[in-house]
Amino acid sequence: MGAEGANLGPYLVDMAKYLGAGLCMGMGALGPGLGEGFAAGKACEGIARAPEQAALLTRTMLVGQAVSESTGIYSLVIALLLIFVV
Amino acid sequence: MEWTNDWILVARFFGAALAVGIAAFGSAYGEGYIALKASEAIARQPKASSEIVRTMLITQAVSETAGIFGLLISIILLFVAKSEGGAVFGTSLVAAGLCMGVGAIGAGIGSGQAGGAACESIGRYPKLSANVLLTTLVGQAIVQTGCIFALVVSMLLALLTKEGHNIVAVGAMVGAGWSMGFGAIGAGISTGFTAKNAVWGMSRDSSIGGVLTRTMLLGQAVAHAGAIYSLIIAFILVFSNRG
Repeated sequence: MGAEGANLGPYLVDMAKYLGAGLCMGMGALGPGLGEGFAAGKACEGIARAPEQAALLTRTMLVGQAVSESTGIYSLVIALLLIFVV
Repeated sequence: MEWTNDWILVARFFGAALAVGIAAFGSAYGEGYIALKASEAIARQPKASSEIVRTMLITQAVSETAGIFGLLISIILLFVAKSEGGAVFGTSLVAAGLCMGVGAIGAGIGSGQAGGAACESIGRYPKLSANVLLTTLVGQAIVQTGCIFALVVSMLLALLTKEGHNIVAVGAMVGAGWSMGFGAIGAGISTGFTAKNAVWGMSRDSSIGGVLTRTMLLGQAVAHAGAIYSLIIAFILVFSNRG
């Protein structure tokens, strides 16, 4: 289509770059999204059981979520690399 | 194969089916879960049945939002979207349907979790129903965030003008729809779980409502980071490759 069928190679490579960036970020956001919400849910449950530990629980929740977020950030970096660098 | 405007019609119909078909799954699952929890609660506490049924209907209405977004995009694709354009526009119509359909699954299931917990808590402690319902509705509203991102990207894909048959832009449109659609699932389901546990905690001890709501909102905000990354990637792909 882009090259009248003569030599699609370079166009296909660019297409795969953008398609890959979308796939990468879409699937990459699934896991961190799920994990962080479950962590927050259990923190709420813990605060309900032991309200005096609220500060400790909130801190633990945030540290856990930050670690869980790392794979989402890897996906973001790879998606941006695919779009702008490669 | 020769490109004709019939392919745009095909893309509109296919996108419309994807949007409402997949989105309906999440909403229906969530609402069914609320009804299940409400039935359980009424069996345990028949005296509170009117309170429980009211809570069930209100929370089901919020859970329905995700399905209504799917319906909206479906109607836009069927009746509003332009009927002529190139391969890039055709692909972006299908991508719009995929984005909204998949993006609504998480919000439907998640707000169902929160609503179910509300019915259960009110069945146990009918006196706290006002506090519990308020927390549930705040939690459910945040659960819809990812779904609203998907609605925005889907509208951009369906309504922005895109010309030509450039295969690079075709890839970018599918990538944008996929990125935002799947990126919204995880955040939707799990922030619903957060709201569920916050509501449960509220019904145990309503005096800690403030700290619970604060923790719930903080946790939900962090959990949406992935969906926001997806939104950024989708915007970059839509706006830098319009064909």
